[in-house]
Amino acid sequence: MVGHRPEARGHACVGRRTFLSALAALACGTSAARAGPPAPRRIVALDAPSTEMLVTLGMEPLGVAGLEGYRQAEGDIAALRNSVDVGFFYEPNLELLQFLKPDLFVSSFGIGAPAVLLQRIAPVLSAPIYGGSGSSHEAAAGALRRIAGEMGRRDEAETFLAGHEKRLSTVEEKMRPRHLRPVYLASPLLDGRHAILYGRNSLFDDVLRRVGMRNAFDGQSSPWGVANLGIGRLADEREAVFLYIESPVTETALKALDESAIWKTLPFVKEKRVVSIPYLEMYGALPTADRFAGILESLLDRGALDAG
Amino acid sequence: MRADAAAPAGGQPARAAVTIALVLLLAAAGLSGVTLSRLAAPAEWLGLLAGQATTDTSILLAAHSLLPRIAVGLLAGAGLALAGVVFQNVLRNPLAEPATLGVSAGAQLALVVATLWFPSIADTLRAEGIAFLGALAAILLVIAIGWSRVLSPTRMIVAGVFVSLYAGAVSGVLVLFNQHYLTGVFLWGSGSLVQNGWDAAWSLSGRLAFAVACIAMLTRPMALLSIGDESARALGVRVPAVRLAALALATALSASIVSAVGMIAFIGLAAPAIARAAGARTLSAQLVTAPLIGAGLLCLTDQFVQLAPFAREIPTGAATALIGGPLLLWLLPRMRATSVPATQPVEGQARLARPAPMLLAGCLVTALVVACALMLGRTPQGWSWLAGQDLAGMLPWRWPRVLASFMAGGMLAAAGVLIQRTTSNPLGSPEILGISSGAALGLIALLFLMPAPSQFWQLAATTAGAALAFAVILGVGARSGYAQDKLLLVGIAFGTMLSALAAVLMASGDPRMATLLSWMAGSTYGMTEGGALVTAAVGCLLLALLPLTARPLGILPLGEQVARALGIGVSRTRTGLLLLTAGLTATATLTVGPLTFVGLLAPHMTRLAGFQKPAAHLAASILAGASIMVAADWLGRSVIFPYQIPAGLFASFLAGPLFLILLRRQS
Repeated sequence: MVGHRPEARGHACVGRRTFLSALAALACGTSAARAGPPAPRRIVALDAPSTEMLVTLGMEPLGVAGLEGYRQAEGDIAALRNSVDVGFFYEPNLELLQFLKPDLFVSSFGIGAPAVLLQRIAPVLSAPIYGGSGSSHEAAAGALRRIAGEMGRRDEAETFLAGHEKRLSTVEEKMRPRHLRPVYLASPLLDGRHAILYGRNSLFDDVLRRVGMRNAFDGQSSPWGVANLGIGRLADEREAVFLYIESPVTETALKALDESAIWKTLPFVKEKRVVSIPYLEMYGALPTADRFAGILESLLDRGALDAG
Repeated sequence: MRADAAAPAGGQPARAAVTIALVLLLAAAGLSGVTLSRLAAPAEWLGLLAGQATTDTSILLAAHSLLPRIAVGLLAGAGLALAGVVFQNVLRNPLAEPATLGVSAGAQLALVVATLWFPSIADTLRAEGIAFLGALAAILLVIAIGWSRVLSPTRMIVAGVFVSLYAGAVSGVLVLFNQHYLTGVFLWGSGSLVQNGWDAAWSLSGRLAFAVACIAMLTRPMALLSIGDESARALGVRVPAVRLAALALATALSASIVSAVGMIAFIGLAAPAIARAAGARTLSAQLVTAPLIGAGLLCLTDQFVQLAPFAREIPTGAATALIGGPLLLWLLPRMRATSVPATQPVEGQARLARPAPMLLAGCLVTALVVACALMLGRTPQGWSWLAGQDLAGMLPWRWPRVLASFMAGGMLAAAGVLIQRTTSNPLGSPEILGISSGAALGLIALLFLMPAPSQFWQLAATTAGAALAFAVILGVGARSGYAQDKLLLVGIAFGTMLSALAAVLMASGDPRMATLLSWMAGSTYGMTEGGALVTAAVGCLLLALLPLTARPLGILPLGEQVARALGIGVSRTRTGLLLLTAGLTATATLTVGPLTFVGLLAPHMTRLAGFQKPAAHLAASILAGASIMVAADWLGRSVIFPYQIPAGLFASFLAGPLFLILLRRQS
């Protein structure tokens, strides 16, 4: 079987690298990772949150899954200009990946290409954020630290984390003296009758809790933190503000909503508390959480969240 | 409801059917009262209808959301059932309903396309307008394909399934590419009755009233049609005109309903089936009772969805399938043989005198396709024919996929031949037995239970699902003496449950839906060497049994008496054939997912090409199925490199036009 040879070689390669880095870690202690063997340079990000984390750490990934869609949503990002699109996040092109010869895969969704297949090409660093039992926000911080540790970029990660903590505290301090409304955070759907709501288990819900605000949607949500509801269900919280995340479909969706009798009866519509906020990755990493905190801060400064 | 209880009511009034309708409607009314009382006290109900001015949100919700929702549920249920009765009688196929005729798939495709590329049209026409146009276009296409002197029902049904699957495949590809934006379409696909005012209720009631009036005028000629084209013509019925008018009406009606509330599974199929089972034998009895049953079923389900303490909001369309599917399975053994005229095998006059040279040519084509799939591929530099060291590097990725798609394509085609020949139903395809849907249901159930199941669990769940569906088929089959229409209904029950559950999962915005979607679209992406070898081993074992089926396949269609006279144990043979078909389908589904379009098309293509004798038909179909699947897998991973289109989906693209050409050439 000729076909098996390169695969076997790949295994040997991985084994040696893992062994060496383990040796290095033993010899130098983990904090001195930078002094050890060179940190991986040829990295492929397998989903949007890992891409986001790598960019934040100042890396330029060799390949990015779903790059085209990511660019459409996030705009032109300098660090990704030379990256290669490796296909869908759930089916990155294995032949292309083998051709690119990466030395590390970073995955955060934990779904998609089976690890057995990816490991023939390079080791997989898995840094899950969603779907676990604890807080997504803590998981996101852990994931960032984990990736930074592997890349020898601890300082960059700690700087970002410190900045993020500071921003959260600032927002919290601004919130504390004021009487604020609870918020619905949603992506309205095209049919004008439903919206996706972010609830418990979501990164945004954790940020809201952290800064001392209340999520008006407290119902059941998926393990990934979202729920799909008819808009009639949004009448429960009379005082709430309705924040919706801009996306290419929101304009059409809002037009559909404007024609709806139920939408017009909702308290936040009647009292003009419908606020748009810039695009946020639906399942983002810590940088998305930080961006959301910044959005909350500017909303506070505009007085959009104050109770009347 | 038991068959013997319904038996005395076999005459015109069909009292059992009326009783069922009344019980359903009363239950729906009772539950509606409960949901309504959660928003408004009974004393306020009259005020709600009078449109009292108020600022109380819960009263407003009751008046603008709940009441119209009840009305829409009743209207849509009645309309779907009415359309179902008309379709089933005109096309003489108990499986005909808006979904099988491409209406729903066409509407959905139109919505997807408009949302992605023509947002300005989407703005002006709104979802309803677009869905209506899509549904209309789909059925016009069905009529255009199926057009012949008398609008042959068989051709029409084949065309309907074809358009339905094809539109579904196209939407599938578009959705795979644009998941971010299409959640709204998914939600529509799962059939939600949530209302935002009375608009939908008013427009639906107007259209339903119009349709009822027209259908009332058509009842007599339609009833005459059911005794056969020749006799109807002798009695002065203008067959094509009546058929066209009835079809146009039912189409317009189902298109309006589908565009207003999305895909509501099962009502258009089940309400007429229940009415018939409860003794509504004549067309007029069915036209009266089925809509009442449909209205009751849909409204009751909708109220139940609102009251049940589910963790997440379940769209009504999904619920009708989830409740209706098991109900249908439970009813099946209790149903008497249906009184809808039997289907006719698809006509095919072409006959090859000597199939051997053609088969040889087929082998060569297959070998060529396999060679291309292994050696020719895309790299970042473009297309390249690999050899030597480069090829050796890529083969471990390629050969498992090629081998798996080859085996799966061949097995599906063989299963398709067995089903089409034993059921004499042109719709016969592996998925119609429900085994592939059962496998997929197993996987979806697993996704609800486990956040990130491993491959082992995925395989275990799909196998368990397929085995369960298979057990149900055997159970129903044994109790009904393998009556073909009942076996087909088993498949439809599983199929509707599957599409409903999948739609719920996809509307939830869960990223895991992407993996599910690609598996359901027939992706061979995760195929390992071990998996491919196991598939091949099991597949070869099953295919080796096929020569044994050639004789019974030739004799069974001649009737039970002839078969028995020729020394064939009919029920034992049927069980054996069913077992073999199920085994082939289950193995293939585990490999390439439940999109078994190839199993429907390959047998038709080869038959239309002139392979009429069972043995030659089987061999040619296996070759055709295998090459289509391998080509689909190869092109699917090459044409939009580095992105990939799942093999099952791509096979639909490839086989569709071929099938169309053969179908046209034949007329």
